[in-house]
Amino acid sequence: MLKVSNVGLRFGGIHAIQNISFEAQTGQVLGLIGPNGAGKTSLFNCITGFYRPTTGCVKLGDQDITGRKPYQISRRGIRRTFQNIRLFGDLSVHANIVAGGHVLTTSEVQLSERCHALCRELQIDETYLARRSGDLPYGIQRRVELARALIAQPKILLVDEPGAGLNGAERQLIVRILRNVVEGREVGVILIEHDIGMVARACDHVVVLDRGRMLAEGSPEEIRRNPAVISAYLGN
Amino acid sequence: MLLQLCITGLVLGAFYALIAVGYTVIYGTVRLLNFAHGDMYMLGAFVGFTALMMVPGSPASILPIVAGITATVVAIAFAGFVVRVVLERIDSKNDVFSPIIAAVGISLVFQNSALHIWGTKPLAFPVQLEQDFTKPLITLAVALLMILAVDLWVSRSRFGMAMRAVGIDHNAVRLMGIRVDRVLYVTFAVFSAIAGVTGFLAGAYYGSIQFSMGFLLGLKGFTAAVLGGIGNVRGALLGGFLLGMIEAFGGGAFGTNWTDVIVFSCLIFVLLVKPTGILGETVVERM
Amino acid sequence: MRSRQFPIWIFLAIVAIAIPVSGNGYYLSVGTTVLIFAVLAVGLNVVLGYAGLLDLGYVAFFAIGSYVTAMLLYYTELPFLLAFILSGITAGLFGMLVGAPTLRLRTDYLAIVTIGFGEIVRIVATNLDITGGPTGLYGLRQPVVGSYTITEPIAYYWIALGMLMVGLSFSAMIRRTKLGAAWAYIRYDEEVAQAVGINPFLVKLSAYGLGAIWGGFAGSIYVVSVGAISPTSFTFGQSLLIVMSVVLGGQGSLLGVVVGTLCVIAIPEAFRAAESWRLLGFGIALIALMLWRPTGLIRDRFKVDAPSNPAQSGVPSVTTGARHAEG
Repeated sequence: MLKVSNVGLRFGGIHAIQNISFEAQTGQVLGLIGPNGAGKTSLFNCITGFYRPTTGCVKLGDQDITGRKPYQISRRGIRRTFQNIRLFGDLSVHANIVAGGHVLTTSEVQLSERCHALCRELQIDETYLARRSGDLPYGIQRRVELARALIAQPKILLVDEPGAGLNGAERQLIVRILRNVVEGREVGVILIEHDIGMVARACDHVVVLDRGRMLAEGSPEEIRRNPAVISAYLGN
Repeated sequence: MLLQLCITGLVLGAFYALIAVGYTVIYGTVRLLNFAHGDMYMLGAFVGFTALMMVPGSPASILPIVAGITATVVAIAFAGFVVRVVLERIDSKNDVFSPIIAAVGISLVFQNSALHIWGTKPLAFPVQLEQDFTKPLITLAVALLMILAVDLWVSRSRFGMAMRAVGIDHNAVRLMGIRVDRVLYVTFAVFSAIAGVTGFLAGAYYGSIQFSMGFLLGLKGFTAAVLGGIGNVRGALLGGFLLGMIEAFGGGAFGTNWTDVIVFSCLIFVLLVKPTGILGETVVERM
Repeated sequence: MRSRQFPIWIFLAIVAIAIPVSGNGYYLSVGTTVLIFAVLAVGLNVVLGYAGLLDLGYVAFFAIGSYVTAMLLYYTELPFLLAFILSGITAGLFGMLVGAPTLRLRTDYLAIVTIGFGEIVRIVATNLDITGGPTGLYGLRQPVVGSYTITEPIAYYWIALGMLMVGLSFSAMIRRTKLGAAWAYIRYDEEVAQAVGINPFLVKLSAYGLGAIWGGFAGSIYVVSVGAISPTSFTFGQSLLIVMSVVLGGQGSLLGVVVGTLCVIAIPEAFRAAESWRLLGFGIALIALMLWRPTGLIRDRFKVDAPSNPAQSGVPSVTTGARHAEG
């Protein structure tokens, strides 16, 4: 569904990423892993338009979206969450989630219904809806950010380190949520995560980056046993 | 006539370059347009004025001039330091507006304090250069010396490197042991002092000074910095001279009443066509 | 309208009505000035308070509107209402013209460019004969509505008050629309706004354009209330006063804007403070405000998140200008 071909990004003389190619399929969770600085978030930024790739192309279905402005890419059905949670902290949970549907033609009433449904699905207690989102615990904020992305019924969902800062139980919850998300909808998920356990349980397919290049690609089991991957993690 | 315009343009350009370089370095290190920078130029002229008047004897001799410039440097460096101290306290509130509005407030305070201390009328500067060909020559010589010194300092010295590193990433630089706050104090102090000395020089060149001289010059200095590429020292210098020439020849062609309009229209034009300026780097990130 | 603010609004309304009723000519004159400033502040509030655009040259649109009306009244026989409409449209057009290249820029660039534009307008007005040059135009014919010629100061007071009411209502209404929400999002976090599909440029342009049109209308009313026009009314200092009114009161809050205007205009007027002392005081007040209460006197709901670390803002840092090889 989302095809990344030969994407590269250069800042001055430095290659942030080079020669990245893979496909994210609808109904699957694709994991993007690699040591710090491997270029994962840069890749996300290239896909979502916050950076323009210096080489290569990104296609959604048969539409070329390379280098388009971020808001255009969002409107075409690619939504994301951010590594450091970026909610509108002074606004309520409900307002935040509904903001995700701002550009849609869906009515306010329908958006509100979707919001309630998402809260049930992501286990956000209804009492939080009116609360100021910045006051809430991290784990809940993360799920609110996910809900904000999902309310737009995207074709591709990019999730950037949802497990960071969460405890074990919360991480399990995120994994379950992500599996439910792809199984219940027409959506492809790309997940950046450091926690290998989460990756193993959540992902159908994994791409490994190291120092800006693709190191390996395959199922979670294959990746876990791949000696190059192991040495990249240990070596760094 | 043409020669006259060239000379006017070069001298103006030198002044703009010196102011622009301060804007550009401060912007490059703290991402803030120092609204009060133009007022440093103005204060330099007035502090110099007062210092020159206070030294016994004729102002136009070596000792008073040296004393005047020294007083200017010290006083305006201190003023720049104070500005940074105030802005530092505000910066940490994580708000895009606050530092800018605070800088505007600082500018208001400086301008109106100068107004109350020295009055609204233009004052004759005690040191005036001979009204012949030596005047622009001396001025340009001094200005170019300063420009050269700044360029060398930023590009070759260790401190210059520290300044550039701070401009890239405060946190990484802290981890390397560089005291970011100290670098910034010095940066503000030095470039404010440069602006102050430029004011002194301008006083000697034009012969009179006025409390409002910093406002317009500050805006034009910023225009020059943008023209050359903000954050880029050589760009500021290039932009300064270019702007000086544009103003001189524009004034020659359309009349001096219109020079400011020409200059600001240049600003809008540059931002339209190439916001990164002549020597600016194309930024990869797109907002 | 928050219920706690209600008593203050009532109080202000009482004062606003008491002034013309009292018949005191001085209060009426000051009152009209304050009202027009408040109208401007309400306009800038949309630009700065709602959309978060640091416009430091708002007086330019006020000037454009004023001059369009003044020149039409002076040189032509066109009816005032037409001049009024044209003033708004012209100002709006200039708003689009200036906004188009500059609204894509960062806040500090925008600030400087808007100052520059304000200066351009003022200097052009000072130097053209058609605008009356440095002395301006005076003896403008008075507006005629229907068969009634508006001559009395008290009429202008009511007109200005009416305009303020319209502005307040319109602001309150538009804040609740989708556009108003979009302004809040881009003001709060522009990248996230993009991530939910909002086009920041169009959203900003709409705020800037609306503010420009409004400023134009205000200028038109101002000029007929005075009967003359001069470029000295349209300085950078005036832009700053309007900005102060918005910032002091708490960005976004309508009550804050009105209270802010009162603090900035009415109180110093009451004490007959000299212009320069007033500005000095404001400079100090701005600094103090930014140090200790950046959200203004009346608490505002939204705060903007910005990186204090240059590395996160993607803008060039200090370079020497030596070229390196570029891909």
